[in-house]
Amino acid sequence: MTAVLLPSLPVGFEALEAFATRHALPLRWAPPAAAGLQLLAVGAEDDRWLRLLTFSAQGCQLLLADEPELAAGLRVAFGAREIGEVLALPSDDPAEIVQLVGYAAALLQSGVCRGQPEEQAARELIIARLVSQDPIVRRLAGVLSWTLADEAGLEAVRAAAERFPDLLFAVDTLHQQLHEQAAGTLHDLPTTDTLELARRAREAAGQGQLERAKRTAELLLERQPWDSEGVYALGVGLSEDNPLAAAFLLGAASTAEDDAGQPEFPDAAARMAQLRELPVTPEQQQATEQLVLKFVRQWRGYSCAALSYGGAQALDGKLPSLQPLFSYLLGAWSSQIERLEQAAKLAPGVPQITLRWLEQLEQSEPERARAGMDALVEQLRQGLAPTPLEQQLEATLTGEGEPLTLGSLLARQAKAAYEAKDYDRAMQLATQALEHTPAELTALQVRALAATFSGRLEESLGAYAEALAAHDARYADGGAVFLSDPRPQMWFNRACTHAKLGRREAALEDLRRAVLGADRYAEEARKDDWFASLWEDPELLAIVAREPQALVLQEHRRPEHALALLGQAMDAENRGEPTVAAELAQQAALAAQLAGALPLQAEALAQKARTLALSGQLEPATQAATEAARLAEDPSVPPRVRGQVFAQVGLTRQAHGDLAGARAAYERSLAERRLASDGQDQALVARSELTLAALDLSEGSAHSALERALRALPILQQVVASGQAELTAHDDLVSAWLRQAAARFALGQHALAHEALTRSVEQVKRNAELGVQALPWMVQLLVDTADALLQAGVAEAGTTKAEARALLSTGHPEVDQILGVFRELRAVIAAWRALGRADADIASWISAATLGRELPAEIVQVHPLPELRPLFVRLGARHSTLLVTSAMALELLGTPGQLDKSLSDLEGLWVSAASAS
Amino acid sequence: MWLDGLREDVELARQLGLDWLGEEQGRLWSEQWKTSWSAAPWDPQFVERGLSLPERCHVVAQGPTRQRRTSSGGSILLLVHDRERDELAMLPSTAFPPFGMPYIGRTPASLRAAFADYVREPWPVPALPRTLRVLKPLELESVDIVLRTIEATEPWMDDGPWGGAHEGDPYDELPAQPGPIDLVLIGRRALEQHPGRPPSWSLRSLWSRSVLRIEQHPYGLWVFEVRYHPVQTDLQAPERLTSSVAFPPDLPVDVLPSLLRGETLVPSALEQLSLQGGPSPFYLAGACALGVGDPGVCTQIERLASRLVGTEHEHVAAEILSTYGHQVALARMGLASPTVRDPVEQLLVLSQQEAP
Repeated sequence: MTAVLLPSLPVGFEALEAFATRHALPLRWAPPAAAGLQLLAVGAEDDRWLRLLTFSAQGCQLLLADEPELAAGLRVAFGAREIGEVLALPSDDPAEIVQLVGYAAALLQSGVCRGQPEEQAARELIIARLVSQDPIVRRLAGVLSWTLADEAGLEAVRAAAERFPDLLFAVDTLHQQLHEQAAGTLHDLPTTDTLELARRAREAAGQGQLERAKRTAELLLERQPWDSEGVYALGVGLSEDNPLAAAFLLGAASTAEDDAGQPEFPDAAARMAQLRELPVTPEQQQATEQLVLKFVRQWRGYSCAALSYGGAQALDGKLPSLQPLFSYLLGAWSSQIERLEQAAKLAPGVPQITLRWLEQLEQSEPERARAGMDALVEQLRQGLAPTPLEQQLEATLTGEGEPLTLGSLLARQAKAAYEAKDYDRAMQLATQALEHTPAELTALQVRALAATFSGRLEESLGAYAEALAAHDARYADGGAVFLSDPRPQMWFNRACTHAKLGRREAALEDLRRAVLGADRYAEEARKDDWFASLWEDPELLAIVAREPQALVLQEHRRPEHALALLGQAMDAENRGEPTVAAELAQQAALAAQLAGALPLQAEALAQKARTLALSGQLEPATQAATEAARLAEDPSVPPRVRGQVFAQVGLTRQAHGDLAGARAAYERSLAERRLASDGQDQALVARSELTLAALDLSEGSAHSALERALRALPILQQVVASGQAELTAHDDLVSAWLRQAAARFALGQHALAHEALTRSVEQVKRNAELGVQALPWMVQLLVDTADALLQAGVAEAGTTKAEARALLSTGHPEVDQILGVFRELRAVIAAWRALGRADADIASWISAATLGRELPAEIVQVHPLPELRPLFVRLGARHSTLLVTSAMALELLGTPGQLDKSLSDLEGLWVSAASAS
Repeated sequence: MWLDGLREDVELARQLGLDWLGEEQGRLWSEQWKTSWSAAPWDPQFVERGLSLPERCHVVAQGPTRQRRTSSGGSILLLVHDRERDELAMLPSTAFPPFGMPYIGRTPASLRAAFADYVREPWPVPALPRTLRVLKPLELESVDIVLRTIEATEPWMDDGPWGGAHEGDPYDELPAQPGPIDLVLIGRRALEQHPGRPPSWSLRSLWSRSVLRIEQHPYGLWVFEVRYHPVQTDLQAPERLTSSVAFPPDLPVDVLPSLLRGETLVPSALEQLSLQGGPSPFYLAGACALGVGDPGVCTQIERLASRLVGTEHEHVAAEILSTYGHQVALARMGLASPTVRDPVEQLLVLSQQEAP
């Protein structure tokens, strides 16, 4: 290869192509050898090559020719010169000198003259200029001195920096570069991507780049301590620095298996066996101790027992200070009692180890185990100070979990005694445990249960109350979500106690709680003879039959509770969760029925009917509406409630397509609301008018609709002006203007229609100033109406349409887009439901559209399904956790009854991701 | 006559994935084409220019469909018969500027050649042989608007952009039917940037599989780079799309509309402009942004920098050279001008860390 310099010669593609053609080198383009370095190559099938390299920093280009003939041709064609000649040119002109420094650096960087005289000339040129008196020449030589790239070069730069401290930066740069070069990390970009780190760790370990393997694995294990790729690579990386630590890690990695059950690192065990036999210094032993303790602690946190076992096996008998730990890990993994006993004897001050040994011993020698446990309790009671190493071991084995205390140990003993039906001892131990740790949950539970089964029934009731209160507090702060809830068992046992004591009401109430918490207690109550006195009781029979009415707790059989549930049902409907809303409304109706609150029952049933109708479940909606209407005829129901019930009944009938029935119900609602006299009910009268106006419009009776809208308007204006109006009245006022606009439009009164529309937009804005946000469907109606007016030639409607559309905007285009997509999605879901499509199918379509899976042909193009995936991917690209969380939400969509809630969650997730951008 | 011959060539249809359309089907496609183009979100005059083509052309065949890789969007390749020229043209999408569609002749051989140019499979990015870099002085704070515009209005461009950390297209690693986990992994990695280079975002076109890379440079400059296989089909097509910029005739037209929005400067135009006006650091910054690895860049930069020596712009010029790591040029500037000597001495050291 001959390097030819093209100093200050503008070579373009065309010139080079022409040259190549003249020399019978048909163009063949080669991939770059390194980013930004090799620009193009031309060559022929017989491997004659020219390569043009551009060195921006050095301000020059090199043409490399692999044949002298080609090089000679370049001289003629471009006036190029061989670089050796150029570097040898004498010069005193600083401008020429800096250019020569550039050429020299380019030549070194290209590596084409390695081992040849030109390389030495280039190095000498740069080194000589490092001590130039001109700071510019000197510093340029310093900047480009990284191309010297070896220890000799570093020495030269150091020597220059001693004379000229302004070159210290160059020393640091070259030193760092050599270090990275030696480690093999020179080309590793900084990354936090664990997959990339794992790839590098695997590559470095495979190629024997020990320093790179170590550094990459450390970064990986900081994020994923369980990652076997990192454990193996760190083991390989440490094998020269610290054979003992390396043996531990390779032993751990040797337990890892691939999907086929084969060792993931087939050479790990053999490497480990070699390394563990190598001599180590005390410092290496000490470093190994710290590494072992760190990893065992982390692996316990992630339940990676196999890694700990593999590591322990590697160092078994090799590191005396940690032998108790290794014996413990080996014994615990394979349930070897001798190993555990050995561990306990080597480290008597580590209760976790002793306890594990005693638990194992319990199975073969219960007496000895019990004595050992007593001794352990005594040891803890005396509070003997453990050695520093024992403290470290205890902390390592405890990890992030609860430390072993005297209270928790006594509670364990109490539980064991309870399970052995030694109730007196159980109570005694539980009481002792609570003396040391008053909120010890296990002890509280055992004390109550033991009191029951030892016949101390009255005493047990107080114990249950205390235990349940402690558990309630723990569950209320979310501290026990991953544990199975013991409260249903305690409620059941307390129910047993009450039954035995003849306290029927209390027994049934606790049984209700138990059955609501866990179904199986219904069956147990049938069989458990503690309930014998109630077996014939109809209420007990209803509870164990799990009749909804019987399962309502006494404390919930109150109008206040029913009212609260009804409020929750309305909130759920507003949140777009009709399934939850309908269930809550049903519960409200039941609670109201049991409380004897008939008007409330009718109202709750009407709410249920409305929710079901709006979500397309027409048959159950009709049933609920019929029942609500029947109850509402009762004389005890006040006109306000009756008006509300018939309004919902009307809506249900309208959804069913029964317009005549709907009109009758709406008229009845209006009549009942007129009967009511206070200001609030006046607003409801107006609302009924507006509902009927909408019906009129849909039936083409625009005159009647206009009259109704004009009747409703002053009422609502007055109510809103009073400052006492509920939020709905503000919306209704917008509706009044909007209905008027629609009616006038239908009557051809376009100018008046536009005026009414303008007023409705103004009202929406006023409402917003008062904190009342417009309902999206209403704003959409404003936009649609404006659009219709625009089509009809009312030019001003364009501005109104823009204003209306702006009302839908959050000011954040991406958020608007997401909200729009979900709004449309809900409309599509409602339509699908009305067509009788199951939620499970709908959920699977949404998931498939989002995740890019295949969709049934008939819905592939259904708007807005095609918009889901681009949104998902775009947001996910910016927020990687969003992809994971969304994938989980999409899975939950398919859970029965969760479609609406999961959709809301998904929407919230995406909106917050977009807002954060 | 020749069209009937093509229609009857079953082997040709099979090879190219063509579905010859009946009169009515063709009419429906033509209507859709007209509707789609008249609503295209381009400058009204630009749209107007293309309105006559759906009138005088008839859609005669439906070609392959290409889906975008992360969304359900994409485009269908259509063949249209231009009655005035009496030859076929290839329409990458009904939203594609009609006057830019390449004409592909009337013989099986010319159709095969056109499909070889335009219906390509993805090619490893570093191995794409041709490179075009153009400068775009756009007043943008973020690339988002550009990417969204392309995604919304150019269905012949794929989605799933990737960042400058990747030499190749990371989506090439995806299986044919990616699952959610694949998406999570690719989503995490695709947009990563290289810490030592200007931030960039790359996209492929769906048909020629050319790669458009959008680079964000200092001083408010953007560079759009296209890496492509040169095409032999209809070398006049780029000029029909725009005559105001001299794009290479072998540039595949399916990547060209992405370059049309906003002002565009090709490297040769930059040099000419710098000679026409007074001295301005814009041309030096532009050459630095455009000239990454380009032949002749060193001499061009030296030349443009020397024109700024002794002017009010020389401090800015020194900063630009430092920013782009043109260290020899920077040193030469410091030696040439006493007024920038001190800053150049400082910048030389800084430039080692800051080169993009």
